[in-house]
Amino acid sequence: MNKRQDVERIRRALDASLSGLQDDPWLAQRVVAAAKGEKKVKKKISVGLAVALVLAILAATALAVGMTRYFSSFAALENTYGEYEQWPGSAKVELVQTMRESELLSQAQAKGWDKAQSEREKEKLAEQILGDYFERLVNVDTYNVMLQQLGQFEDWPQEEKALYSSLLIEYGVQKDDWPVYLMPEQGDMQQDEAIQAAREILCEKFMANERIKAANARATFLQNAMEYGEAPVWIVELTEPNLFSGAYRVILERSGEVRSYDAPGTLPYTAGKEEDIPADAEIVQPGEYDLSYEEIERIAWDSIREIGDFETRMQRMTLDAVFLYDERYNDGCEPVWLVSFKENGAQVYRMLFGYDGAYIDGAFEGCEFERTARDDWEIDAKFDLDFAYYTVEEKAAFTQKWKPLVDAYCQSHPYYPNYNSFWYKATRQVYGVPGDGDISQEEATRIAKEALMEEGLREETMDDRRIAYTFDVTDPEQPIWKLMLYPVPFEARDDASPVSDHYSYQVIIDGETGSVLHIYCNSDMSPDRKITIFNM
Amino acid sequence: MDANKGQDGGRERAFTALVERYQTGLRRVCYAILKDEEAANDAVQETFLKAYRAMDSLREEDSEKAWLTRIAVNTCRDMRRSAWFRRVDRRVTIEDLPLASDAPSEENAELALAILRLPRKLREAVLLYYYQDLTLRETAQALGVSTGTASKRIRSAHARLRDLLEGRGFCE
Repeated sequence: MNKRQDVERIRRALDASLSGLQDDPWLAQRVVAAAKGEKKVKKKISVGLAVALVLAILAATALAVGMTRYFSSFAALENTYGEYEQWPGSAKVELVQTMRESELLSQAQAKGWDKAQSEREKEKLAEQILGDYFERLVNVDTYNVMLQQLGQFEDWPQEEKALYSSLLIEYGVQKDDWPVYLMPEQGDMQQDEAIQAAREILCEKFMANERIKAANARATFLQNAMEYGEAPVWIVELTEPNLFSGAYRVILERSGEVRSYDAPGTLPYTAGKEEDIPADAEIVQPGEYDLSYEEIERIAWDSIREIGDFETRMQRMTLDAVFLYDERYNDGCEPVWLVSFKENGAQVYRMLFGYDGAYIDGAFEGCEFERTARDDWEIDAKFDLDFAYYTVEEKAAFTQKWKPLVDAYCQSHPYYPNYNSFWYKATRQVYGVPGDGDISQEEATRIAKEALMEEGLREETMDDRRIAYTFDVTDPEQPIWKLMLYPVPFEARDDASPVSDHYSYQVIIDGETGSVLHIYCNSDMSPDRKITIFNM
Repeated sequence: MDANKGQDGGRERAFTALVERYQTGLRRVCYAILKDEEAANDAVQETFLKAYRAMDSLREEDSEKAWLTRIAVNTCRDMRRSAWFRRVDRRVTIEDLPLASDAPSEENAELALAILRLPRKLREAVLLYYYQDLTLRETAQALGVSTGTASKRIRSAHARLRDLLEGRGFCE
């Protein structure tokens, strides 16, 4: 098993098991706010290191032919004999021989090789030489052997990526959903041309020309049927050297035709097909929270005055504005005003505003918006996210403290609920504590366990389940107990454990009468499997 | 427009993109090191605060992910040293995992728990080398050890997880 497979296996396990950790949508804003006023440190460039990198690239290029032979040889041996640890001595002798002929081993590294006479001597020596050579490799396989020589995968030139793919295909390791890296054929666009074409279309479509010209480019030619269809494409990414703004990206057909392009943070724009008003956009009438057409018109005229020489041309210009929802703008959660300026009937400029007139971006005719979402939210509070483990008293206190704050925030930010954030969801219920006439927590626990046992759950492990409690008084006339019974811990399971031991169950109980209203399960078979901490 | 304000705006947008891209992975790494959701959230915030202050010191040859992971590991180590942190029992069971809307499969939960139960040094090595997919050199740098030592830790951790990684040892 190679590193790539282990990476995927481990990622799958940790991502699935830790998916309950909630991201913080305001993290960047809070950090920036906290860091404001800090003194900036100037970047130092190490000339020595830059020279060393160039020399390393030159050395790698000089070795390319021998290296190709070495990689192919390794992959062939791996295919024949399986894991490196299982290889017979003769295979290791063959590999050392290839490495010597490919000039990958220095005299010192291969010391004694020429003097070894018998096969047994050579096998012993090969074991030692390869042991030293691969000492730092965690897994000795084709992928890691190539990584050892070529460095990080993303930095490999196209030839090396193509070689890697061809080895995987030749030896039957390639998976259907893995990209196949290819060398462009005669008649295909070549790498330099792809980068050049990408820069040109980006400079044409976005206004940050200087940044795009200075950006570092990486172009990859690949076939990935699931993502891009059967035909191979060029994917060119341009990243700014000193910023972390993400990449500008262009996808080109093998012929060189631009398929799509995007700026950091925007959805891809389809070349030649983008319309001013997206086809799927939902045009709406401004409501009580939104600026009216007349108000946005006034703001737009004021704004265009400051751009280029438009002030001198305004007499000849007209304006049109549309209020719409579209997934391109604010993730479709919040409408925008899309304003189009025309001069003598032809569009010359577009502007994008929030529902309240907040400026988002502007673009000359033929250009695209580079910024498509407002980023001026703030809710200056940090929630405790450890919600599932709160007691009913703590949850009640949470409601008392945070619900009014979030409700007030929603008043001043009317589209906030559409984003369906943690903060919003966590404050939609009213949490309380049971009163004198209500079922107590102990009674609710007993009722829940009995109900689950009636459903067939094991009594023996019932008490091993951890329980989270919520007393929901959103409807004060009908308080509700919500008990979440977590899976039986590993330690308490045995070979006879039924599948129900692996699942969480939520039992909803009438807070006054004690009757069971619902039982939910998060098993894959259950239609009600979507249990979250917010409906607890 | 005020030129400095424009520069700051660009820097902030860039930083926001950085946070959006890496906060999920870093939060999971911090949780796996600290085994505490609240502490992990604090560590992620602290990591990005340090990153924001030091954005200019990121060298071109460094990958953003490796750089941020290095900061996060060191931040977690600082937090682990606190007296409060040392007093808390941090043995993990499946019900201690942050509640997800969909329960992880048995296979995934078992491997995740096995990773969380590795000794700290081996756990950090697995998280960096496999979960964050850093190179051996980057992993060694982040852990502050030689590549030889990092390699040894990864090998040792891999040996402990071998059965689970290869699909053996799961409850059916």
